[in-house]
Amino acid sequence: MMPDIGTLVQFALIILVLSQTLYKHTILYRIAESTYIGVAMATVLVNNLYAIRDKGLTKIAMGEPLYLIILVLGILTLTRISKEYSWLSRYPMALMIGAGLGISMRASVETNILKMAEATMLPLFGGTVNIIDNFLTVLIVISILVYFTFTMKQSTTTNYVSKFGRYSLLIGFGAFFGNAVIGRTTWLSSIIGTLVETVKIFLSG
Amino acid sequence: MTGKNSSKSLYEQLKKVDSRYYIVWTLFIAMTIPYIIPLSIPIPINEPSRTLYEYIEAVKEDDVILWCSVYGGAYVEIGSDHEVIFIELLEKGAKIMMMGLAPEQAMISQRVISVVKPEEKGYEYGIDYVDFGFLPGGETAIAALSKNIQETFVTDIYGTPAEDIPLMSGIIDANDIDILIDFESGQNYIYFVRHFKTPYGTTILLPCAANTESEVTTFFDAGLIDAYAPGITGAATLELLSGRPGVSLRGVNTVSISQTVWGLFVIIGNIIYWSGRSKKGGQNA
Repeated sequence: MMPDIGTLVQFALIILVLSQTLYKHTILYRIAESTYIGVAMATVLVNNLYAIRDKGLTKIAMGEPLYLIILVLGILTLTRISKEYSWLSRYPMALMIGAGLGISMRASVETNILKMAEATMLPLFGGTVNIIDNFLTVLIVISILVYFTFTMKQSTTTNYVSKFGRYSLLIGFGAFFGNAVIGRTTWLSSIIGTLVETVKIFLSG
Repeated sequence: MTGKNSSKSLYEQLKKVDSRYYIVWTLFIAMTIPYIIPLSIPIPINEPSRTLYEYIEAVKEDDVILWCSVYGGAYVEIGSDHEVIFIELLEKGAKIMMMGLAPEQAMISQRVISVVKPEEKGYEYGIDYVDFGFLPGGETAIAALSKNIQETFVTDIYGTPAEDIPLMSGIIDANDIDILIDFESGQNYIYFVRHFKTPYGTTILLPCAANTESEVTTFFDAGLIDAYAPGITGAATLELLSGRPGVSLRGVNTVSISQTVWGLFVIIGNIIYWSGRSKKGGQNA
């Protein structure tokens, strides 16, 4: 969907002003930055308030008293701003962290440990697909495990394996970084597209 | 003697250059070219994205789709995935439940709806699709959702109770979901894997931002995610396969050019670095 000319111009102006960070932080840059942060925070706040209304207050109105306790606990988190009553905020925090960790840990064992370990147990010979991939996966897993084994002194052989593990890790981090760069470049591409589009509209009258 | 001095001074000069300005401006100019002169760089078909498209193609009428969007700033990468998949699913007669795990996602879903305009194509809100907006609570909420969908959603974004929405009749828990699509730029997909895929075996499709691709691949290889479409390449693949060219197909050319420029900078940087090192080594010796 093509935005209207007013939106395009506003967008283009904000891009140009925010790009001044490459040169130096001018007053215009600071205005644009503060506006952006203000709008973003307001959006988050309003949407959160809607969520409290729709998911919490509606339930209380439906006659579910349990949600009243949750609402009170939610309000207690705000006591952090008071020196005198900040200790009260520990209760909802403890509940949130405890419940969150409990739910997460229960499901993590099967998903993040068992399934992942299962996925590394691959046929090295006679497999159906991609034996080189399988072989590399197993080799890299073992070498990285050796790299992170600190409980015993490494021999000359394990040193080589450990070094291979280290290089594998570095290649992995490189891939992470490369993907992040592609992502950010895509964002830049969209910004350039908007600027070019705005210029084209102006030139065509 | 003169040659040696001049090459040394070139190295010294290059070392003094603040490369950031050159990188930014070269990238800016290189990436502007495809928007001014349309280029036809071949677009590689991304295999995981093809698999994702095949899943979408296999959707049957009345299949229940739960989709979650958590991407905000990555709209330029995932937004077109969102639109293409929405149109494809509506045309197949699937029932779509939308939700978001970030406060701004309610706006993103509304934007996608305003672009696709389902009502103009004869689809009806509440019968063909429903938007539940932002679901707060992170993983705890997802765990609750897998067990009791209507209780967890409570109301849609217009305040209509979930049990009064026609689409929701008969939808109780994760067993009633045929496909879960998570439009993702972070790591929230892990919640769905933990609470939908592992216990219930729900099919999970993941159009994701490029920066999450490395991690998502491990989940895909482990069979915990059924298909994914990474970044703008994935989105362009979906546009190409669905025959709905859009912003991603245009943008992917720019990204291809930028990657070439990045590659050149990496090569130049390495040449400068290693030539500097060998000179220092030579001097020390």
